[in-house]
Amino acid sequence: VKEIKRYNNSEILQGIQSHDKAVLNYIYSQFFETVSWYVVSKGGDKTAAYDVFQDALMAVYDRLQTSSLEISNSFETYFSGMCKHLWQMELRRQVKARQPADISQEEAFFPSYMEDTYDKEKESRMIQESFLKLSNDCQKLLMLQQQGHSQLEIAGIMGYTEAFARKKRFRCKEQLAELVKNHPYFKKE
Amino acid sequence: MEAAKNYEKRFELIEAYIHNELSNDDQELFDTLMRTDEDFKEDVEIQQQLAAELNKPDRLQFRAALQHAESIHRLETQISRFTLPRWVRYAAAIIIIGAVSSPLLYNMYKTSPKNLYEVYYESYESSSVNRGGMETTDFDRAMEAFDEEDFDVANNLFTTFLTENPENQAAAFYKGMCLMELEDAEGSVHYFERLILDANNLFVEQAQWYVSLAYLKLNTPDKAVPYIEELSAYPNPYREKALKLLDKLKRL
Repeated sequence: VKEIKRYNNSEILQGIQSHDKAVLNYIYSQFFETVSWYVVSKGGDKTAAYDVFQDALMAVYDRLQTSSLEISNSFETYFSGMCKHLWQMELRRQVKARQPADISQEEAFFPSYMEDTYDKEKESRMIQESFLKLSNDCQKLLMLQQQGHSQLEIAGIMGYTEAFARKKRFRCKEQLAELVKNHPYFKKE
Repeated sequence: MEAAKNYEKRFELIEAYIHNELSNDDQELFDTLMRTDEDFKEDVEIQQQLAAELNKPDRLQFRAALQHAESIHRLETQISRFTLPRWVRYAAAIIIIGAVSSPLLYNMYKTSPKNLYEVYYESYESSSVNRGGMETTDFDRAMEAFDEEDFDVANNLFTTFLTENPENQAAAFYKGMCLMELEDAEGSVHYFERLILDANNLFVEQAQWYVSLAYLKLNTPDKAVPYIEELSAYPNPYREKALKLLDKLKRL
């Protein structure tokens, strides 16, 4: 039987920071079931549990980018606490969407700045997921444009004619807009 | 054609707005659209959000890594939870043991380079582009045919285009892909190896991956291994698949 390599807190945090696939697989294999059990027991389903799990990992990643993260107990305790918090935020968002008046009692627990951050993160995820669904060529092209390359340079790098690079860029943007508008997080005003 | 022009104008306006480069006339048009066209307003917000996300490429890469880890976990969970009644599992085990110990069946299902090619080969996806309304080149027409999976036509058009533009790397790559799709793995090798040798282009990893598959199809795994080893050695979109393929090739 193949023995599973175990990681300590600092190895896990380092692995998250460096996008280490082995560490990410380890986190999913070791901690997802607990989070899933909690989310399902609180009215969610497996898909919601996966969403919360990914959001929490992204939150840890963001914290690691801005400051050092000291975890006094196990990573599992810290991380599942974070997942629980995110699921509570999600439940609150759902209640608010259905019956805005019912939410006032809970206001003290989740101040509006947290809600704003939560909503912004959902938007960010929606754009990221839509972008990652684009073809490799579209992703490269849009990235090159964002890096400030001229249309001529992009055409040269991609091996396109300039006219084709221009058309393709707009078509990629149109495809992205369609993907975003069909994303479950997309809110119609 | 009108529709094509509209979306181009639309995104051109949005880009100019984001880069603060709107002319007075365009500013007026932009403001009117923002007031009257809800869809346009949404597109502006989406493109602004996209620009913000692309400014943080490390987060995008981390999201991709998370998606990958999640899909692996989903797959592993599905496999481990695929439980059948005990008697069915026993029966299946007996059949599998019997099959493995039978030389005939063993040979039938033994992994071969060609089998690995069948498992790992996937058509290369290029995003479809409506090219109406602009000056159209042979390359555009070839890409259009490629997108429509009309590989005979695309192959001929890429050949014509490459005669006049022999250094065009994208055309060389797609020409190779056309040949793969047309079951001419031997012909495709020339185009992929040319891109790998040149190295200074965006198609090196794609070319390494597909030339490996071409060699597997040609039943010459020894020629595929160096490319697969290289793809396994550093982060790239094919690394995960390359690692698995390498493992399987070592067991041949």
